[in-house]
This record gives sequence, structure tokens and C-alpha cells, in this order.
Amino acid sequence: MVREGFQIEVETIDAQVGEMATLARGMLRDGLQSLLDLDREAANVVVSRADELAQLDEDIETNVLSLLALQAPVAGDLRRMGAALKLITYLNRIGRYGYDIARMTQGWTEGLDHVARPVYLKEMASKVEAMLDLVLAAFRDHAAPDASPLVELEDDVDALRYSVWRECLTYMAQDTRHIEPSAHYMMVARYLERCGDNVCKMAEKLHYVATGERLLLP
Amino acid sequence: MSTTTGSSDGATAPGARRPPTAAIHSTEPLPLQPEEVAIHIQDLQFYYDQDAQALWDIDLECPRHRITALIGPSGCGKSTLLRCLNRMNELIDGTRYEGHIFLEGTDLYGTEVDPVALRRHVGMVFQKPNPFPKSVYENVAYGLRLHQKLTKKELDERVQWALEKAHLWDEVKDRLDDAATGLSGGQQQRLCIARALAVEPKVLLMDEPCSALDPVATQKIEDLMLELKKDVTIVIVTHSMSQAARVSDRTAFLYKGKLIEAGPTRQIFEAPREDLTEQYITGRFG
Repeated sequence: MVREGFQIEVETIDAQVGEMATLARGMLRDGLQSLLDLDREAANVVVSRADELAQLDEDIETNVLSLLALQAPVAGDLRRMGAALKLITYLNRIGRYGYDIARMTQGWTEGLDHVARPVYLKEMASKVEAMLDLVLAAFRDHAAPDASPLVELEDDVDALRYSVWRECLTYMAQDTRHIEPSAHYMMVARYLERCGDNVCKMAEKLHYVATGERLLLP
Repeated sequence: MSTTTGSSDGATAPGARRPPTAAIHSTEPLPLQPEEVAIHIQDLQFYYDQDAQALWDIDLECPRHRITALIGPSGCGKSTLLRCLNRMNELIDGTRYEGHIFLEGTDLYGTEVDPVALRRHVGMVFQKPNPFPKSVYENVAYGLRLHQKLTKKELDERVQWALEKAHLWDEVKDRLDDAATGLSGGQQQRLCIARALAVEPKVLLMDEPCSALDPVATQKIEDLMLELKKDVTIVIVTHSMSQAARVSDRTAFLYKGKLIEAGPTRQIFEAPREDLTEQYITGRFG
């Protein structure tokens, strides 16, 4: 006997988590791009998606709690639903960092240009997106994410954050007009580094879903 | 990486690359210590007749003063296994067994063990309440009279003690002489538990004790089980996954007469080791 109704509800929640992941990933990518291009129109679009992100977060939580209350899932189903509640928290944070970066673009002083091309930020974002893709593929495949590439990418992101920090210190020391944009870059680097951390926490949860073993990434 | 999602700075200093290794916290349950075990089933095979083997190679330990739940689909052998624990199967012609069942170190199938005396130490409660067609008082006193010589005062005290243990005393103390069959289903089941407890067994076997009861009566029996395990070791057969999860400390899953997996209930329901267990408890077959 297969619990068809239950299975449909689980698949619906899986699809919603996937949708939220796509949205959060897009908000982070587009938020950063709006800053790199100093494109207020693009930033407005990212900011406008915040409500959708919050709504998905609430809808998924409601659906998971309802499923826990009414269907009492156990074993792999229980682990997946428990993980869903955690994943949406991490995804919400990632999307919100994209929103915060877009807000930075919106508030960027008129006429102020970039100090230099913030290539490290772009590189950091690419690595965070690669990490997210690894984890989301594992989520889709009901598999444990491969820890090694994740940890390597996470180390790269951490190292790049310090590169941004050192570079910005140099800019700020050179010219006080560089302080405002440099402060923004340092903040964005911090956001991206935290996004990497959130993706690693997602990987730990998905490892538990797939194997029943607790994983703690270094 | 930071191990928290708070505001701590989780970045690594440049040049201080960490090895890409991860720590895995095993959820493998610790084995029971020998001194914890009340019932030890060793390599048990059971046959209803020459060609009808019902249990294969059962190895199972039930810890003392804990509740062990036997789960599995209909016909998997869980009730047969339960009845092996007080030799009830011997009442069926043609049955035979191989292997050992030790209760506190004594082989239950040893030649020196009297099955009738054994059932005093291993009480049983059945799916449907089966009170004797006698008064409430006599239902509890009956077994006591068989096994022990007690004065009227001692008998009264023991009946009250057993009814209190079964959380029934307050409901029946003014109608001890009334027919037990006049009690509600839940009360009758608690009366049967009181009857089993009266002779102070070491083990209480419960074969789907709540399947004929409403949710309120079920809740009372479950609360009672949690209290009784302080004094007795309980083995319960249940078809209710949620009941096994709620009340038992350990769970054993049987399928087609074989023990597939046994372990702490939390582990079985959160991260079972065997695919068959996972499929059964998640409702994907059965």
C-alpha cells in the first residue's frame, strides 16, 4: 500500500523548496549584478521579489507543519520534512542577502562610480552559486551532497573575502572618496561569505536526510 | 565554515586552508549491556507443524523495565513470537521450536520449567478484553488464590493494590461485586491488566491491547504502560506505528517470520538501517 495522498504532499513541498531555491539564487545573482552595473531598475526588480520569497517561506512551513500534524511521517520522510524547515530558513537568508545588496544599489550615491571593477565579488558569487547548484542537485536527486568540492569552494569564498577586505583597505587609505564604495564591497563580501556558510549547513542537513548520519563540515 | 548560522565570523584566514574532510556523527545505537537484558531470544525457529515454519533465526534482546514493541505486517510472526515468551504456543498441537529464550538467565524451554508457573512470571494481556464471567473483585483475586495462600485481609489488600496499579481502583471501588462484563471496554482491559499484575509478574506481554479501544481508553492504557515499566518488562505487539513510537523504548520489525531490524525506537523511526523497515514504517507496503 502506497500512501498516494501523502506522497503527493511530499512532492508538492519538494517542488516548493525547489522553487524557493531558484528564487533565492536568482535574487542573490541579480542583486549582485545590479550593484556591479549600478543598475537601479534591476535592483528594484530584486527588491520586489522579497514578498514572494517571504510568502514561499510561510507557505512551505505551513505545508510541512500540516503534514507533520496529519500524516505523522517517519524515517526518511520525517528527515526530509525536518530538513525542509531548515532549508527554507537558509534559502530565505540567501535571498535576503540578494535583497540587501539590491537595496545597496538603490541607495548608491548618485554619480559615484566604482573604485575599480569589483572582480573578486563576482568571483565569490560564482563560487557560492556553484555551491548552491551542488546542494540543490543533491536535494533533487535525494542524495547526499559531495562534501569535498563544497569545502574547497567554501575555502575559496573565505579566502576571497579576505582579498576583498585587504583591497578595500588599500582603496580607503588612498582616497577618502573610496570609503563609501569600499565599505559596500566589504559588506557584500561578508554577505557572500555567509551565503557560503548557509549552503554548507544545507549540505549537512541533506546528508542527514539521505543517510541518517549527522555530518559536520569542517 | 562557521558551524553556526549566527553572526560569528566563520571565514578562514588566508593561507590556512582546511583539509576537505568532514566529521560524521554516527547514529549507530549502542548495544545493550548484558546486565540490562531481561529477555534474550537466541536463534529461535518456530514451526506450527512439520512444514509450516513461522519464525526463522530470531535473535532479540528485550531490556529490563523497558517497553519493547514488535511491529510488522499481518502474518509476519509477531504474535507468534510474543506467545513463545510464555509458551502459549504449546497449547496448539503440532507446534515445535528450536533455539533458546532466556528470562533473567533461565531458559524458558528448560525441562525443569513448569509452563503454568512460568505464566505467573510472564503475564499476558490480549487484543480483546477477556474478563472472567465473575465479579470485578474475583477477576483479580482468582489468580492470587491459585498461586498463593493469603488471608482475606491480605487478598483484599492485594486486589486493591493491583486495581490501583492498573489505574482502575477509583472507578470500581464501589462496585467490586458487580459483574466485570458490565464495565466499559477500556475498564475491562485495565481489569485484565490488574489481573495479570496481581501475581507480580516479571514480564507483561501485550498483544495489540488497544486495538478494540477508543482513543481515550487507549491513552489510559498507554499512560499505564509507561508507569508499569518501572516494575515490569513489557513486550507489546502493535499494528499502530504511532503507538509503538509513543510508548516503546525499543522496536523490533519482523517480516515474513524474520527479524529484519531491532533497535532504539527513536532510531528505528528516525533513521532505520534497513530499507524494508523504512518501507514498512513509511507506509510504502504492508
